[in-house]
Amino acid sequence: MVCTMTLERLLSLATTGTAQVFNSLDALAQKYLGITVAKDVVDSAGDPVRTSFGKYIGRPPADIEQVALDYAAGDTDVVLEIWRAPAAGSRAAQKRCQRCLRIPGRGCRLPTPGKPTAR
Amino acid sequence: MSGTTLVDVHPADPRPSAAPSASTTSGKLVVDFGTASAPRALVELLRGHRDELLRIYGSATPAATVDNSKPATGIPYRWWKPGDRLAATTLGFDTETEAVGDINDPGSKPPRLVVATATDGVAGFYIAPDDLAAFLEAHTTPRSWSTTCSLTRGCASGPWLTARRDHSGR
Repeated sequence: MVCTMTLERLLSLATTGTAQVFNSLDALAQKYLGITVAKDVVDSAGDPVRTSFGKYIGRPPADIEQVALDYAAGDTDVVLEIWRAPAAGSRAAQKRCQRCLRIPGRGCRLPTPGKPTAR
Repeated sequence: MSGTTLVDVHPADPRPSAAPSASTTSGKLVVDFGTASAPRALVELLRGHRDELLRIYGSATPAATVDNSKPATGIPYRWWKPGDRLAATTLGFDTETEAVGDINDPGSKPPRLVVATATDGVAGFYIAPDDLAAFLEAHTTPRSWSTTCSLTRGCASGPWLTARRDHSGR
């Protein structure tokens, strides 16, 4: 499992010598896709969706408003688009990641069910 | 006029779907598709011609308020159920949780998961917390999950939560 946020930080560290502060999803969407991901969406109660997912804890998933689901899906779409972006930096990051994943015990790996993560 | 182009869809807007409208606000181009999904090709076209569109709409159209963030990818999402599987080996993956506590406090508990989302660029799923372990198991390969090369962001919480649920089922 690869974290684009951490990957961008590592890439920045490797190419500029510093880990950029602005490596949020919005910043990466701007950098690699040229789009802005709005974060000021509100639900039917007027609550900001981004910080209001906690209201659904303990409730059935069907209670989650569509605007909140769209928000969640939108972020995921952007993550995938960033990964696929033809920008040089992204490609370099992918190569770096793929190399990382080939090394046993290295990289940001999700544990296989029932097996501890190798370290 | 130069500036950042914003291309957004407004799927939750209750207004009847109509022809897309465009406007500019703060130097950004905003395209509202109402309740409709925007084809990927159209979005790419808009991005490719953003400067021209900004010039066209920049002075003649009043600014509009943007109230939603669904990117215009047009990828259909639905709730995941056992047996569903995304075809591609590269997935976008993200989690939404309750508010994160003080990340600098090592004693703070991780936020509880509300919903996870995954897509391969063709289809997407909303994944309920209780279904996440089964979803992950359905998307491992004979090699390993890591070679599936799935993606997420926010390593501080997303994968941790995912792994935690994967092992404990809580």
